[in-house]
Amino acid sequence: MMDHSENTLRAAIKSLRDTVGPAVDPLDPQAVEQLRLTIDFLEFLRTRVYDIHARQRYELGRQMDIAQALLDDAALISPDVGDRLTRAVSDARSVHADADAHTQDLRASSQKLWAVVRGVLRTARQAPEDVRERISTRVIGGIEPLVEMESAWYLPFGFEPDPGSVPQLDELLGRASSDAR
Amino acid sequence: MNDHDLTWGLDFDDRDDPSPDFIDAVRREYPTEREVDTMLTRKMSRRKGPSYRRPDLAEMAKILDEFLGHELGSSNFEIRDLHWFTGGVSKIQIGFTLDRDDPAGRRRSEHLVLRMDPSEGSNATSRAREHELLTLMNGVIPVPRPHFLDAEGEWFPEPALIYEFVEGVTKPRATGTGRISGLGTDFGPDHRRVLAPQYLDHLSKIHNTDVSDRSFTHLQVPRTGSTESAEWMVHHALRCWEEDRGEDSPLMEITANWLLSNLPTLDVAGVVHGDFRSGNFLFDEESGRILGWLDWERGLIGDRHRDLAWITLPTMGHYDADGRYFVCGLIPLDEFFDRYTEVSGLTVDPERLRFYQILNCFTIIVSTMASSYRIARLGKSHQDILLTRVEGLVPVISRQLITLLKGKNT
Repeated sequence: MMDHSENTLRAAIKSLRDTVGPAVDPLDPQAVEQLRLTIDFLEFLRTRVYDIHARQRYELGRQMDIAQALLDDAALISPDVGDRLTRAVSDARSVHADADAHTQDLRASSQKLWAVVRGVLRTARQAPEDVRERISTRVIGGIEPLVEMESAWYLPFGFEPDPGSVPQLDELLGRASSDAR
Repeated sequence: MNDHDLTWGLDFDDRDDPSPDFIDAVRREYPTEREVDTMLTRKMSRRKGPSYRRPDLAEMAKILDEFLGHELGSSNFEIRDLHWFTGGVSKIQIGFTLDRDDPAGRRRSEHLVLRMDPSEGSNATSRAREHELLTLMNGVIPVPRPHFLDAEGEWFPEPALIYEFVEGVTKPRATGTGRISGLGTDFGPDHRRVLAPQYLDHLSKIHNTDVSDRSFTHLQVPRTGSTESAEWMVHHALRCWEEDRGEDSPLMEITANWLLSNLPTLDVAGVVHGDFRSGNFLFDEESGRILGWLDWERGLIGDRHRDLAWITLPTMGHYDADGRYFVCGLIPLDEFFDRYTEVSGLTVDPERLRFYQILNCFTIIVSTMASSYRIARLGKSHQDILLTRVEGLVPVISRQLITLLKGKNT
């Protein structure tokens, strides 16, 4: 049998909306509000549940791009800092290249890589100003595709001031699939 | 690597049950105001405790009865009509009526609000400090008069403040805007005309409150001519980032580096509200008169640019149909700073404004990405589901932050 999560989420939403909702005390505004938020979140999850793996792969790919761009400056901070980052990039690349990598593997790899990048950025507080400036510029340049993905991912939450300018999630995830190939 | 290696450490789950070593390491790394330090240390020391359980109103009525009996030194009073308020993201609020005799022996009814922390809120702030600020501002601008304080949570499950209930609305009843905490409210041209001058007048009075000859218990006055004020605020945000987050963010790290390298000096120490925007004031819909400024939990004594930067962030105001941005939904941004200076007599320094805009973006991301995550993970509040939803703000604020770090205006 195929995975039926999306179908089950539809059923859960219907149950909360049609059966549970009318039974909630309208004089308890917090309960009314939280039921609405819960239904909204399940609806959001229904549209995202089969994209979580692709998003994780996209993120690890972009994170590797940033880490790679910092390698030279990390080595300038100290050889140890440079080595840590080189190893972390290499480990991440192995996981990303593995078509069988589970979502959790990608996630763990992202966390490890990001922790090392944090170490580089914190040790850079003591680095010469030109090194700090260059590192900042590279992080800012590299982070924009990740923010773009988050914007597309959370678009249904309604916080975007200009929703029309947010790229399509499918388009971004398509790029992730191309990377994987 | 030890269990509090803040530079290279990888385990974020240890923040669910932080060791005394971890708590101390973060305190040492980011020293801040005494009251903030006390609140954050309390938060971390209690984190491994049970998750939040919503008390029922009968339970709260019983505690309230015992507390007021102690505070009033009498049992000649009655509490009735307890009801939940919605809308408070970080605090639990219950309305009730207190019947008691006035000094002349006549029975009086007072409508009051109990404002209490959840087990852990998205801002670990001090009810005692809020009480002190409300007392300070009472008579200066419209604020709810504070009545009672349980600063340590000696009576209630958590620290609590009881103040006067203020009538009024936070937005015109007809508008569909401002659904989340009043952000982005469109007041419409008629209300704008009446509310805008009051808004500027109140902001000016807050910022011009003379604090030099006063002594405080829970507020601390930073030294002018030094970077102390900015440093306290940056360290406060960095400390929460360290204590709460479940993941890393290079954008936040480079922002932290920028903030620490660009601390501005303070010219005038004034009161800062901390969240002076739509949703946090009540007004009479018919006359347009502002009846009360609420939510002083982010209040402090420091640099007015902290407030000015907060209220001019794109997410805090309203864009009209022509794309014109209104500060607090009331005053066009292109007029705002001139009008503020005219009314307050205080200057606006663009560099300090940019610093505090960057700090404010940083602080919002700490709250939405780090604190909200930890609280929902541990089930610590009455609004966990809402806190997870505000994660959707992270990319919006991140874009503003990137623009500011590039040296541009948002």
